[in-house]
Amino acid sequence: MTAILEIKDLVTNFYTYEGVVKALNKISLDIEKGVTFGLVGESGCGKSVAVRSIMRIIQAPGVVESGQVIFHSNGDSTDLLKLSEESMRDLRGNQISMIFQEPNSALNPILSIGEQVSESFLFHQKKDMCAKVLANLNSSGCKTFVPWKHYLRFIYQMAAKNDRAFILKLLSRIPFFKWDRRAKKEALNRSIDIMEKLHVPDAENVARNSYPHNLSGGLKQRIVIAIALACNPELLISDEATSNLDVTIQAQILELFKELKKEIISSIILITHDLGIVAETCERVGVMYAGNLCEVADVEMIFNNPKHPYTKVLLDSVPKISQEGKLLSIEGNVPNLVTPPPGCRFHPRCRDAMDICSRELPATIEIEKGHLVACHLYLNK
Amino acid sequence: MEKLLELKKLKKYYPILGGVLRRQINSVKALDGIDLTINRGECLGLVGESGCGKTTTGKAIIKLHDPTEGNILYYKDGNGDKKGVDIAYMKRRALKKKGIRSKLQMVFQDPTTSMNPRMLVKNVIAEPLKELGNMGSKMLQDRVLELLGLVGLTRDHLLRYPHEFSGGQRQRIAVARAIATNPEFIVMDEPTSALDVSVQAQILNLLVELQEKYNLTYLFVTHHLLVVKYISQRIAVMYLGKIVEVSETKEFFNKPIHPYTHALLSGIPIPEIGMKRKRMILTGDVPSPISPPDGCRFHNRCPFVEERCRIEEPLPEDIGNHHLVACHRKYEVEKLFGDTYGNSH
Amino acid sequence: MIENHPRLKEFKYTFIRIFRNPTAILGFTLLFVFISVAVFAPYIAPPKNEDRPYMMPHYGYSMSPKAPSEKAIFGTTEGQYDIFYGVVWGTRTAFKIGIYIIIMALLIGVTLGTIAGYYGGIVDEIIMRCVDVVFAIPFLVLAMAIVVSFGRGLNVIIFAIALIAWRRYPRVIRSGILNLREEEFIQAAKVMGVPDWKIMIRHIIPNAVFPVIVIAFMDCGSFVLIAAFMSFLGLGAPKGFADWGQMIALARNYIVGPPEAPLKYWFTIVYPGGAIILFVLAWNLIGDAFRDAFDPKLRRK
Repeated sequence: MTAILEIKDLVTNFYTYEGVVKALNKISLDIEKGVTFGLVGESGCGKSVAVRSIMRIIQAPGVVESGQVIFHSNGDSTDLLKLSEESMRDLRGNQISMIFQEPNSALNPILSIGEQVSESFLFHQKKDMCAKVLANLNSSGCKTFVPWKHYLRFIYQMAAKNDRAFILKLLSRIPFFKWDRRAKKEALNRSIDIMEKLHVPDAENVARNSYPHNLSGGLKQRIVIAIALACNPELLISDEATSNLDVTIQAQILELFKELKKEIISSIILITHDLGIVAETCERVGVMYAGNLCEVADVEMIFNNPKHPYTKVLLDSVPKISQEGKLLSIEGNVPNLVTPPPGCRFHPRCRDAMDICSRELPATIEIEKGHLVACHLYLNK
Repeated sequence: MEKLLELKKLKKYYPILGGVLRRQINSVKALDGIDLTINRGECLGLVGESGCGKTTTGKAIIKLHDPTEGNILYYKDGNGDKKGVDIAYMKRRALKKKGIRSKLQMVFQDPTTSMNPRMLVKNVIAEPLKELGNMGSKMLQDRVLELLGLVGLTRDHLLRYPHEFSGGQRQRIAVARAIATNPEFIVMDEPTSALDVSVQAQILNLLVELQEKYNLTYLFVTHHLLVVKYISQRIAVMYLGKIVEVSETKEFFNKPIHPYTHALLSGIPIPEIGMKRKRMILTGDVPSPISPPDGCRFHNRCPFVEERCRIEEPLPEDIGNHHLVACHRKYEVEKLFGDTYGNSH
Repeated sequence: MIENHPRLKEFKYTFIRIFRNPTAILGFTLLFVFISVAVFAPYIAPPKNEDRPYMMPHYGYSMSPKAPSEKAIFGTTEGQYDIFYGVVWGTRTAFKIGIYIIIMALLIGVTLGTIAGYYGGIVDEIIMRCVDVVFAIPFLVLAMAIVVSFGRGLNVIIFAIALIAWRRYPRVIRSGILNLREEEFIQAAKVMGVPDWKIMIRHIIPNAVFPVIVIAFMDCGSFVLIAAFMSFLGLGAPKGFADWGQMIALARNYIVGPPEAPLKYWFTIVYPGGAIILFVLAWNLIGDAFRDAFDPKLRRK
């Protein structure tokens, strides 16, 4: 399997008043093409920081210090961390999309749903849409007033070549010269298409007449997903996208993810703290603890044969359907990342801690095919 | 089994004001006639989706608001009280005077907001004790230390502010505050949903331990079915201001009846591999509690709906073994479910 | 043990935050100077008449001011009142005015705002409409009306301004309380059986009062300015009382000197006027610093 995303030694720090928060401590990870990858861990373990570093949307006190994020797409390999801000903006939403936890803050309350979904198309696929409008104009069935038709044809020809020319932007703001209504209409049609694909009930009406406050939480999250999927991204990142939703709605959305994975997108990174979601939707899993990646393996291996002590304990501490007797819990708390414990960051809470654990950060090794563990227990063998 | 609390036809409507004169134009029917019995010493899980009225139920019982209609009967400990006191419309002062206030407590969902950020932990825990009165400062200090010990914290934590603690420790403090006055009944309003998985287990174990030690009664409000399964002896399911099913935990998971319960059960993501099940995934959303549907409230999402469901509201009926279900087709559902989705649970 | 007490730590933290801000340092320096002047007034400018230290001494009865000399280092103003003495003892007057007004205004404003915000409903409606009524009348006009009806004097000015000055605080504190009222810790307190008045004092006010205090600090300067203005109009203290406003009133005819030397009497206006400006500035800067230090969003970033 080829990787779509290779993360190498990614380090991210947050410079706060209390000190430097070492949020990511040399993370290395490969995400294969066509795989739903689950990234689990407790809050503050760095799973969100990791994907935000990949997308380069880390907020102010945070800095991506070093490392590489190599994105493979159509035979090209680009290091996302070295890309210019402009080309990164083109890439976001187009090739890599991200969905956040809170659909309310992702949607603009004063724009209609249709406008918001179209925006993504207008930003990333304008050329393509202009070409389509042009084709319509050239077709014999077009009954537009002739001088206006000539004008539009001229403009759309230009737009299909370079959609960000200054003159186009200027003309679109001058009355009587506004040319982009047709492009917007096309974008709206595409929006309705994608919303229908995501099973939004009565998509056309929703797109034209609804505003975010008209919709329920589950439906809003669907719209957010529609925006994210608008341009057929190769990689979709979902940052706790279902954790604010109700059980029955969450089930709907997860089902949707599975469906989408078959039809539209090739790879998904699913960030969650819910091991149940991982077990049901993911194929590969990465377990994070305090800024380190502890274990990466296929989902069956993680759940049936966990190797890292943290993974074991994490699995023991969630209530299960077959639960009998007491839950095991991890003593202690997640460490403060300003002054993380030396060596392996899990050692103060680890049942199998050894001397070496407090001294050295364990290297990641592959103990069987596709099963990576970073723990001293397996290093010596 | 000895009853501790009994809710009878409990209703809570929140008025919606509108127009220039701010007249009531409609109401949100958060609770629409609930009957529920809570037995002494049990943990009753109350599950449902957000907005179904489960938190409102909890808050009504501990008297954070007055219900619109209905009764809450409280059977006091030990005195052979067979009639119970109706606390539904009791004023806060009377409640305190009769010593009921300190017997009904609550642990809130988010420990970051449930404590005054400008108070030291010492004062946070001491606050309910001070309201009981008749306690010297030495006694108070000792009691606070004892409570801290009970929830697994130490003397070092006494002189700190809540924000200096992690989420789990904060929830421990909240639990300590709730048990400070030796209550009989505690409403747990999603006490673990703001916590991490590993900490959640700690808190759940703590709660079980305390329950056994002091013979506490819990109403455990949550949307997380696996958590209720772990902690509760009985489970009640709410949908849109109504209770649709009440049964014992084992029966709840092995022999669910109400279609909504089936939907909930198949909606939970299970953290185990190889539990391949047929899933019943509901379409659509929960209707608005301002104008709930006629008849059975679940009928517009129910896959087994028939004409009767749209017109007539089903009443909860005991189908044996204290298993209450409010569904017209309660005797057919099992077969229907098996036919449509395959036998699964 | 003492240095580890959390309240102290918290205080230290606030302290550090305040003093990382250069304008705050300027504000506190100014305030410190004013406080020292006020405290040591009897030593800086020893009063002639021990019984009535606030009365400015005057050297003769000539109308036109005299330039600074050894006898009166800031010169004398109309009626030969000693400007230096007036500025020094006027500091005390200014503090008295500012602090009394603020304390009274805060008491009224915070109490009313808290009650309105906490109970809501009809109580809220009544209180807030009263506030609106007070807001509807221009500040100075109302203050002057009160002074005129009660008779002139410094205490009447303080009383009159305080009676109007509280009107901003209920609005500010109420908006904070409306958010606070639904917080879980308020509900938790109710479950514990804490009576309403204790909830207000222990839980609501400490969490909502800081924005009001910041505004009060900033207002303190401007109330002194308003009091000075009313003194200037002759509604304030008796003639000869050490009060900056009155000193400027005395300088009224000498702001522009004779045509051949328009700045001849600069000292009559610059010293008391400068004192007022710096005093107001000091309170404003401190208010600013407090806002930065207490703002929970700016904190702990």
